[in-house]
Amino acid sequence: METLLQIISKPDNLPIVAMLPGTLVLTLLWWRAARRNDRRLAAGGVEAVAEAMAGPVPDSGKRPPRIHTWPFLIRMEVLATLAVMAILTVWSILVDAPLEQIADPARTPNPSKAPWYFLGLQEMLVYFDPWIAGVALPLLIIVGLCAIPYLDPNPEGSGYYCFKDRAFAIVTFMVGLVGLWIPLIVVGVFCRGPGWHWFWPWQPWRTDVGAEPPAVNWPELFGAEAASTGGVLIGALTIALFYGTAAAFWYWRRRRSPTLQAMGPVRYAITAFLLLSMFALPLKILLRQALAVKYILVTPWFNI
Amino acid sequence: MALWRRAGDGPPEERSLAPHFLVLAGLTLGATAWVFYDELETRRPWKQVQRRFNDLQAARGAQAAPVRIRQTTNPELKVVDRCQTCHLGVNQPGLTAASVPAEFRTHPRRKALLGKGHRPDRVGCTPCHHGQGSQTKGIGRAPFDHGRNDPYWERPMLRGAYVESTCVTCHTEDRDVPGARRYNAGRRLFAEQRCHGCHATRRGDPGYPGGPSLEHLRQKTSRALVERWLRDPRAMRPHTRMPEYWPAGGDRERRDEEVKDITAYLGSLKPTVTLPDGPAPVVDATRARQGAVLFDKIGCRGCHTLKAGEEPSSDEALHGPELARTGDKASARWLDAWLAGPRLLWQEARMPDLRLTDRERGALVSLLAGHERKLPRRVQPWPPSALASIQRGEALVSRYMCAGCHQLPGKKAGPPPGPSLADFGDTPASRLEWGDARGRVRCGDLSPQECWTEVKIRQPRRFSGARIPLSMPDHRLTRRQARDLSVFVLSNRRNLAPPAWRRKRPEQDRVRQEAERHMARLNCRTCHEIGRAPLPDVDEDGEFTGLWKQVPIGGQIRRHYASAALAPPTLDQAGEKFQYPWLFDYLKQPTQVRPWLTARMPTFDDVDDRGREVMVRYLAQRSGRPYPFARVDLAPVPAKDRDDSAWLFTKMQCYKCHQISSMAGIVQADLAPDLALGHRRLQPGWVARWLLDPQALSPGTRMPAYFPLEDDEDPTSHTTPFTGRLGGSVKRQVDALVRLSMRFGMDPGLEVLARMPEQGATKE
Repeated sequence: METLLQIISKPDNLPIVAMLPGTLVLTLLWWRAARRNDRRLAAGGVEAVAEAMAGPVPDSGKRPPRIHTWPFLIRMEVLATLAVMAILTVWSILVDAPLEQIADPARTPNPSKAPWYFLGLQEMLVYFDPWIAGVALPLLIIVGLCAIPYLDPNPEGSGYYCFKDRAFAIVTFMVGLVGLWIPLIVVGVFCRGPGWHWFWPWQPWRTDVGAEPPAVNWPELFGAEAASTGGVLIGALTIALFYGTAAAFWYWRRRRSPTLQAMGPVRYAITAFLLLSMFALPLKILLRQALAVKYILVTPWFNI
Repeated sequence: MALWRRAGDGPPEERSLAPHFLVLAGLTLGATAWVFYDELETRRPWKQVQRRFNDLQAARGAQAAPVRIRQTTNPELKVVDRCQTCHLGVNQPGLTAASVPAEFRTHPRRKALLGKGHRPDRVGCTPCHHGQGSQTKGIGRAPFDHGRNDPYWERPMLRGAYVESTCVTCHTEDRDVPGARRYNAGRRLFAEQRCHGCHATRRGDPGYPGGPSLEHLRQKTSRALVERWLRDPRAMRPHTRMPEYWPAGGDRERRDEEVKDITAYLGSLKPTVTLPDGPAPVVDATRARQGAVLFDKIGCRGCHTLKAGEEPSSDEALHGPELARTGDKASARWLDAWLAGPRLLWQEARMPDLRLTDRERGALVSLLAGHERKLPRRVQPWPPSALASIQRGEALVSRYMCAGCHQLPGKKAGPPPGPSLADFGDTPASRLEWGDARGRVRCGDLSPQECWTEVKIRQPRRFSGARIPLSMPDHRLTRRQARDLSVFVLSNRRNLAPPAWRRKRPEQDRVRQEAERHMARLNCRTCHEIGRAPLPDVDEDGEFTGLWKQVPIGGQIRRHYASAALAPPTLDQAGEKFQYPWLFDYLKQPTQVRPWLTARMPTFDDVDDRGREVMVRYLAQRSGRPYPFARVDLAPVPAKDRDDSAWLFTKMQCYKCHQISSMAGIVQADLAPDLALGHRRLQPGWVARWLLDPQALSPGTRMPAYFPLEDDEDPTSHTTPFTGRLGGSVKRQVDALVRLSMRFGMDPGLEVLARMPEQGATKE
């Protein structure tokens, strides 16, 4: 428990400690608002939602009805800005920027932890090579987030909370943030000790932990040398199969699903690639934890 | 307010967002005001401190100091110090009263230190004291604590004795740093406890020999004794320097197991020397009684104690081992061989040669071997041991680094086997091996690093649970000794001052430090008084009176002799008394000077000619005399004064006590030194002073004073009882006597002169 107390009381970790209940409260708040609007949508359509937010909406002759940004949005943003300024100012007075030991290239601290918001990325380094965990995946995340407006074929649910109109988008987001990103940060903050070994928060950190059990590569499970032609083939085939499920799904549903038809093959391909890449992370974690798999594909140039 | 009206149903005044805006805006403004208030100039802690100082100055009637930051920078020493922003009185005399707040007080050693070498305006404070030099306020809301409350600050301010650990940053050449008593004591302790046997340091003092050679234990002693000794050395010799490898509280069974294995290994070593053949020495009570007298008189007590439970008269008397129950330990044959030539049995033996006759040696062997018992026990032959046990023993001997102190066959030249302490002072506490005790050990005021070091020294197994098995033994040091040692150990830091800032050790300091080192090793001071040291003067209640008194150091052996005249002589004035070539020769090959002394100056083989030279030089330097000695050949007594000189010599009956070996016909008296030695041995100036006032130079001497003082207050008002000779002038008479006595043994003409006692006697 001493370790947990030390982690929690570190000024560096204040945001993550605040973020855990914060995420919970905000999710519940959002869920309540979303359900309320779901009910209004069911009862009176978009007009009912707009009226609840801004009073009787003048008929502008447009569908769906519009609410003015000024003052209805801006004034809320002003309030939020003031609240954030007040909180940050008081915080900066009360909690000093934490200083650690004098930097010395000959002596790195153990564990060397990134700032809390990067600990998810650092945690990914356990499962992927640096070029994937540190370059490819972050790039995909940013590009994917930027691409959302262009990939999204759904015009509903703009300007108000609701669940029913955007079930797919919301579930995907919740899985990515609450299901993957935040847990990775929590693991990095609370469960990683010296040597990046796993310590439960109630275990004291020790420096004398032995090495991890040896890991195997995916093709070796099938009796093939990982770097041999057969091994590379098995690895590449596995990855191809994984992404191939998207093509299969397209082929199966392309005529029956209006969403797929609205997206078209290009937008679908990009969306499916990003989505599958996201799910590749928990799959790889599972493979590592359950089967001690280190790499799926081993080549002389890169390993996945 | 219409802007903030909330839409939807319900009355507008209830649904307004205006209160939300007002509260949040107020909070933001308040927080901003708080920031500015926190940074207000007048709230800076150092300004408040300076105002308090000026109040104090006003109360004393002294001038106020302008309120400003005082910063010392020294790029060469990498110093940026603002310490004197608050410590304003540190270089001002007179702020010493207890009523002055501690932070304003004058530096307690301002006169000695803050002068030329350590000017605070040039070097600042942090080179010596460490701490956070450029910082003027505490971390967060905590008060400023000089980096001591910052776990990441690697140079927290040093307190108490630990300040002395930084002296060597500049005093790189000094063996002893002047005035740094705790550091010096620690450095000596490090050598005496033979820490350098296992640990390398930057400023160690190797050369202190360790324990005896273990190569011929089979010949020397019995297996049972070695086991008993290893289990608990202090039970056999309470003052031994042998540390305890199985400190109390440890696993007794493991200890006994390991002791058995180590003993098995030691017993398996092939002796490298053979004891002389022939009959074993006779041990009987008569000889033992003679030996006991000899032991008391010849000087053994300078380094040894004899009886069990006997308290040593001084630390110097612990220089050699305690000799109680030696007979249990060593065979008579071995003791005999040892006394005959210690260095044959152990190359590094410190035991000097006392030039014992066979008879004397026999008596001492009887005393030691048969002491307190009727018959000497025979040393038991060593039973053979299992090979596995021997091998385990060898591994243990290597793990416990026995070869750090003892001569062993596998001993290699090279760096000491234990962890190097060369950068120990730079090791942050987090990198020390705390074992299972991490976070559980606290030492009050000490920094974690200081705490670890002191605890490690006093309880070497406290930090167990580490990956490496701990093998450091318990040296049974007192708390104070542990701190001294810790100060020295922590003084081993990587960064030294740039060469221009290092202290150049003057030649005379080198001579003093080298000579003191030799004298400590040879234990000169146990017999001879050399120099004086300041000792705090205490009143009846044991309170320090604030005065220091000068006390002679050394000569503790005196208490074993009836009078000071019978004890070894003081060497306090040796530099003005002896001629240095003679003194050098004497140190090398002592000859008998005072026939009445039973104490015998030993021949020291444990020092080379350079060591002897530096000791002589030191004695000369202590008296402020030039070195080498400029020999003055005194002219003989002028012819016209010869008769009077001879008359004086006869009248004063010098020959009654002094023998003059160069001249036949003079009574072979042996109550005073041979006058024929004088011309080589003594400095004429000293002889003159000696003739005038022997008691002043050597209290208790039997030499009569012939020239009493007329006025006790005036030390120059000597009078002579021999008014009729040499014009009744004290000066001329003394001069004539000096010339006369200094030429005995070199001037044949004098023999005739001095053959006059009968004539002189008849004349009267």
